[in-house]
Amino acid sequence: MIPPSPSLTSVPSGAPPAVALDDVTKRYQSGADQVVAVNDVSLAIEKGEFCAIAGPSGSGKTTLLNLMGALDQPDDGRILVDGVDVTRLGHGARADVRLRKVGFIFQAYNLIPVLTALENAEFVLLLQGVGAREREQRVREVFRRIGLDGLESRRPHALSGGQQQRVAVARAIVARPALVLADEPTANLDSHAGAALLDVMQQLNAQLGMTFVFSTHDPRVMERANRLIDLQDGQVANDSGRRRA
Amino acid sequence: MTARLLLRMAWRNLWRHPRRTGLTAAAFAVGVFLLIFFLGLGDGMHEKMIDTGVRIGSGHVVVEPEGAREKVAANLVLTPDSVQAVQRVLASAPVARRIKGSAPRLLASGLLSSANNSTGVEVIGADAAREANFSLLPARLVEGRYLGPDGTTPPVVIGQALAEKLKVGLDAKVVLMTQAGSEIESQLLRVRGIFKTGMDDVDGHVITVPLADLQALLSRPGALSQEAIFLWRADDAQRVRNLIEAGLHQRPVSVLTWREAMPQLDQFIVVDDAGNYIFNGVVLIMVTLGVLNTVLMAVLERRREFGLLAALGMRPYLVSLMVMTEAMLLTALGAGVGLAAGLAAHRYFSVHGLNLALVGNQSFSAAGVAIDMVVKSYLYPGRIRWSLTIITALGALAALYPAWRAARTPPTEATRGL
Repeated sequence: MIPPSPSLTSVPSGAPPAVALDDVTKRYQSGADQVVAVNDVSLAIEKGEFCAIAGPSGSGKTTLLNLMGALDQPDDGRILVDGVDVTRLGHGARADVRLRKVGFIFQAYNLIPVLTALENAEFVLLLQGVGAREREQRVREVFRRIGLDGLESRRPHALSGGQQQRVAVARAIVARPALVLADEPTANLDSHAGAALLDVMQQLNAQLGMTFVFSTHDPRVMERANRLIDLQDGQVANDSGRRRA
Repeated sequence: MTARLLLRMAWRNLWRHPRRTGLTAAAFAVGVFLLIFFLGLGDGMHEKMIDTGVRIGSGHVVVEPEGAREKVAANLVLTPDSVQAVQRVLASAPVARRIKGSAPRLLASGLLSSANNSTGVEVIGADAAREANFSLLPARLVEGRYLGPDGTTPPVVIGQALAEKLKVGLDAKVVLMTQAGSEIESQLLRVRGIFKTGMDDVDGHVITVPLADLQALLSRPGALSQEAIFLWRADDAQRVRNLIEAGLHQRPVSVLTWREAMPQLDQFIVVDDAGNYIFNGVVLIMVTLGVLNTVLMAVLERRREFGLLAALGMRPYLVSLMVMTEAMLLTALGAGVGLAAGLAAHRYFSVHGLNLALVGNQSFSAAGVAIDMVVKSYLYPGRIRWSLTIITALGALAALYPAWRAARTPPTEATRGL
C-alpha cells in the first residue's frame, strides 16, 4: 500500500471545491517562440458539477485539464485539488494526489493493453493498496452500473471503442475520486456510443454526485453540461457559472 | 500486492512482441551457453594441465629442504627429523582426509651412457609402490614396465626420446654416472620401461630409478630431496600447505603449493583464464546490448503508456521497477535456457571429452606441460553461482537506462494528441 505523502498540505475548509485555480498561467516554448497556453485563469469547480470546457483546437483545453489533474505544473498561480495545494509538489507527491483524488478519462481510452478490463478498472485500487475482495466488489458494482457485465476478462483489443471508453470510465470512478477529468471523451466514438457514454457519466453525476469536468468542442456534448466554460486563446471567454437543471 | 501486479504486467509486456522477445532471449541464451561451455573447457584443460603438472612434477604440495631451489647444486636433503615430522603431519586428521597419498623422492643429476651415446639426465629416485599410484610416468609407459624388484641389475625407466638418442631398447644396459659427495660414482642399470609423456624435457632428460638404489649410489642412505603430496582436490592446495607448514613450524623445510613450485604453469593458467574472461566478457556485453536494445525499444514505443501509468498515480520508482522486472524476466528466460543447454553440454563433455585433434591434428604443450588433445569439461566450484551473479548484474545493468527513461516520462504524455 502506498502511504499518503507527508508533503501533502490540506487547506482547512468545510467543503473545498473539487478543483480551484487562482491566476494560473502556463507557457510552452515552441521553437524560438513562447506560447501562452493558459493565461491567468481563475475558476473553481464545486463538487457535484458536470462541467464542460469548450473551445476550438489550440485554445488550451487539454493544458487546463492537465493542470487541474496535477499532470502538469503552472508557471504562475496556484492550484488546489480537493483542498490540496498541488502547485509546487514534487513528482511523487503529485502522483499521490492523482492516485487518491483524480480520475482520468482520455480521448484515446488509454487502457493498459496487457491487462483485462477488470484488471484495468482495479488498477488504481491496487496502487492504493485496497484488498482483493473489496477491489473485486467495487469493480463488479461499477461494471454492473455502466453496462460492462460479462466483459471482465477481455483485453482492450477485444473490446469496441465504446466498451473501452466505459472501462476507462470504470477505472476513473471506481476509487471514488473527488474529481473526474475527461479529455474529449467522445471524440473517438460514433454518435451512438458517444451519447451512451454521456448518459453513463450523467447518471454517475446525478446518482452518486461525482464531479465531472470534460473538454469538448462538440455542441451535442456541451448541451449536456450543467456548466460551460468557454476557453479562447488560453483565457476564459465565458463561464456559464451556473447549473442547468 | 504491487509486486504481483508488476510481475504480471512485466511478463505480459514481454510477450507483446513474442518474436523480438524470443530472439533477444535466444541471443542471451547463446551467450550464456558459450560462457558455460568455454568455462567448462577452460577449467577442464587447466585441471588436466595441473593434474599432469603435479603428477610429473612435485605433487600438489611439496615439502623440501629450505633453500633447495636457490642452491640446486648443493643437493640438499631433508633431515631425518624433518622426514619424521612430515609423516606425522600427513597422518594428522585435517591433512589426512584431504590427501590421496605422498611419495618420497631423491633427486640427482648425472650422465647416462649407452654403448652408442651419452647425455645428461635428471634422476628421480622413487619408491615404486607409492609412486605407481600418483606419478605420470607409470601411466605413460609405451614399452616394458615400471620400477620393481627385478634381477640383480637395478632397473631404470627412461623416456622415449632419450632411448632413441642413446639408441637403446628394453633390457638394454646403460650406465649412470653421478657425483656422490666428492667422488664420482657409476652404476650399471637395465632399461625396464620406456615412457612417452609428450613433453620434450621429460622424455629426453628424465630417468627414474628405485629410491634405495639411488640412495646407495649417492652414499646417502635414507636421504630424501622431497616429499611430494597428492590431494583429492587441487583447490585444497593452499589450505593443506598452510596446515603442513604450521605442523612443521621452525624446521628447515619449505612447503610449496604447485603454484609456487611450478610458477610457469600457474602464470599460464592465469593468463589463459584472463583471455577466457575477456572473450566471455565480450560475448556477454554483446548480448547485454541486445537486451538493452530490446528493453529500450519497448520503453520508447510505450511512452504514452508510461505517461498513462504516471497519470494514474503510479510513482516513478514503480515504473522503473516494472521496466527492471521486464528486463530481468527477459534475462532469466535467456539465461535459464542458456544455462540448461550449457550444463547439458558440460555434462556430456565431462564424460566424453572434446577431441581438439578434430580441429588441429597436433599435440602441444604449454608452460612445460603437455596438453591432452581430449579435453574434458570441468567447472570449478562456484562457477555457476559466479556466472549467475554476473548474468543477473548484466541484466540489471541493461535495464537501468530504459528504466530511468520510463520513470522520467511526464504524465502529460497520456493526453498528448495522437
